[in-house]
Amino acid sequence: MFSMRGGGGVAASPDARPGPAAGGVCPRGVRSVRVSPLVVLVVTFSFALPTGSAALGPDAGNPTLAEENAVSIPVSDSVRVRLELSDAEEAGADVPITLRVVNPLEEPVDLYLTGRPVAFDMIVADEDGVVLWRRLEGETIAMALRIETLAPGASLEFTHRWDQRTNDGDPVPPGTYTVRGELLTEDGPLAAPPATLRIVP
Amino acid sequence: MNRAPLVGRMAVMAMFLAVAACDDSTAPMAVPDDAPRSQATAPGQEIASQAAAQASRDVMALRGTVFASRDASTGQMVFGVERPGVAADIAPVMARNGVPQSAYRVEVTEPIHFAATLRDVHRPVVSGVQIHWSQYVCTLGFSVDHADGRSFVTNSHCTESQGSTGNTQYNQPSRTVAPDPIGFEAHDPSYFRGGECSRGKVCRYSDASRALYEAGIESNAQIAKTTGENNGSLEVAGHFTIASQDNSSTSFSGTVHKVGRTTGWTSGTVTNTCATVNVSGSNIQLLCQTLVQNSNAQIVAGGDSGSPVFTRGGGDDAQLVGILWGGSGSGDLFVFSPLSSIQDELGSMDATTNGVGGGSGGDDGGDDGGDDGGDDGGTNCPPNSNRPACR
Repeated sequence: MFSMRGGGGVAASPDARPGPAAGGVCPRGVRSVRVSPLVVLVVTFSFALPTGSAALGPDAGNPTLAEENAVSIPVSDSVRVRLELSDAEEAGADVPITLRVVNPLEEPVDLYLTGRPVAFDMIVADEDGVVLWRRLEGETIAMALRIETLAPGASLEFTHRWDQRTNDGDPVPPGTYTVRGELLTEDGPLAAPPATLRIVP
Repeated sequence: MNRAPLVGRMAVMAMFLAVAACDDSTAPMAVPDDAPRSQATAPGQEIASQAAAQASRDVMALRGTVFASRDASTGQMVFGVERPGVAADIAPVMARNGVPQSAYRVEVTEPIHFAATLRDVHRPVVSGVQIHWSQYVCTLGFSVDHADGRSFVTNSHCTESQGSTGNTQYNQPSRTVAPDPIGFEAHDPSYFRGGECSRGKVCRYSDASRALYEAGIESNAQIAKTTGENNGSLEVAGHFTIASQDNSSTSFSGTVHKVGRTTGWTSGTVTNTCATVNVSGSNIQLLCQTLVQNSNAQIVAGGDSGSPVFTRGGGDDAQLVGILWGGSGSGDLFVFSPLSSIQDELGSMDATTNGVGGGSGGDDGGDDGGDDGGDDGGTNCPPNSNRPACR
């Protein structure tokens, strides 16, 4: 079983993020356009003026200040992802593993999360790097995309209790294992640094 | 810092540039008849080219003009037009500006459109484009004539309450870009227990729901076609046409295609048919589904839920076979519900027609839809409905 908790903001619009430009291409065949230098000066000056950040549409109700100041930043450059688990567990005991995503910025960050429910993966490998268990092994994910706005300082957490069994159902022996975790997003997995887990007799 | 001198210097610079820009606004000089077209160095021809540049603004105001540019090798102005007849409209404009024929040429070219993606506004609404509801993004599956009215189909999990008909509002592509909704949820059948369903699970034969189009919203039987198969492009370059639909099959083979807002136009090979599939992270089980795989491409990702699944006939003809709802985490496998199962649960529907929301089923071409739009607005008003027509 897994749980997801988070202190989020108001839902964002799917339009405010970087992505394929919507509309507008330079007409083909236009190799050069003679533009008055005065026009260039005016245009350059205009761009030097402060402009508003991309506004995010609210899910309902009026926009809040957080939404209006929300910034579209590549997620990989903004949020911090980490695994939380004990460094040692007794053999046979369930191992609670939490994947936490934190927004360390002073602006809200939009996350485009795959799945309904949101899909996250956890992988356990032995000392030789052989993957013994993968949470999403053989799973079929409902492929909706959830827009989750993380307020400044807020976090999302995804927890799973691993039963210390491989995907084939066999119990893993005592030893040292590497645990990885990643959140599936529109732009690919958002991975946490790996953690070490010792299973003791 | 004393700003006055700085402002003054900037003003002088601006004035200088303005004068320089306006330097070519003197009366044009005629181009000698024997001036070679291929050379841009003759003073007479340069002046004529400058006059043509000024005249281009008048030309581009004409209907049927596509672009204005300058041929760097010859110095000529080049005007692109949609059809030869437009050239006849250009000649008097250029003559009125004193520009000789040697200073410009006209070319017939294709009209230029904004390069739309699957995540842009599409009207009439076509299949395979983005829809936005609540905090989620999905793909619009296909538009249909249905006994309840002109509708579109997407996934059951692309509704606010899966397995229960509610008031989900849909915008295309999103509430911020297009605030007026295109439709509201109309039917999302409940899941059942027992029978073929595994213990502890709730089941259906399709992950599909139907929404009624709002009055006046046009939709057609086209599927957005991106620039290429399995190339990751979201740019719409044309359309498939749903020429037919498979109303009976639950077993498929060979190659099937889909178009979705995240991975675009993708395809794969059917690997399993009539498979029982559990939905990750839930107690939902879908019966008799079809699995499609492509080990060489990512053919599904979050947001592709609701994608129309089809086989290809000749040219851009498509046969609709189902709706995509899920896939593997790696994206090399997707799962779809067959159209026959969708119709078993949502009722008979025709995806090969065009229509307008707000009318009764069977409209073709949309001419009659507008008349019935207001009358039918109040016939599908669940309690606390968000639909404007129900308030």
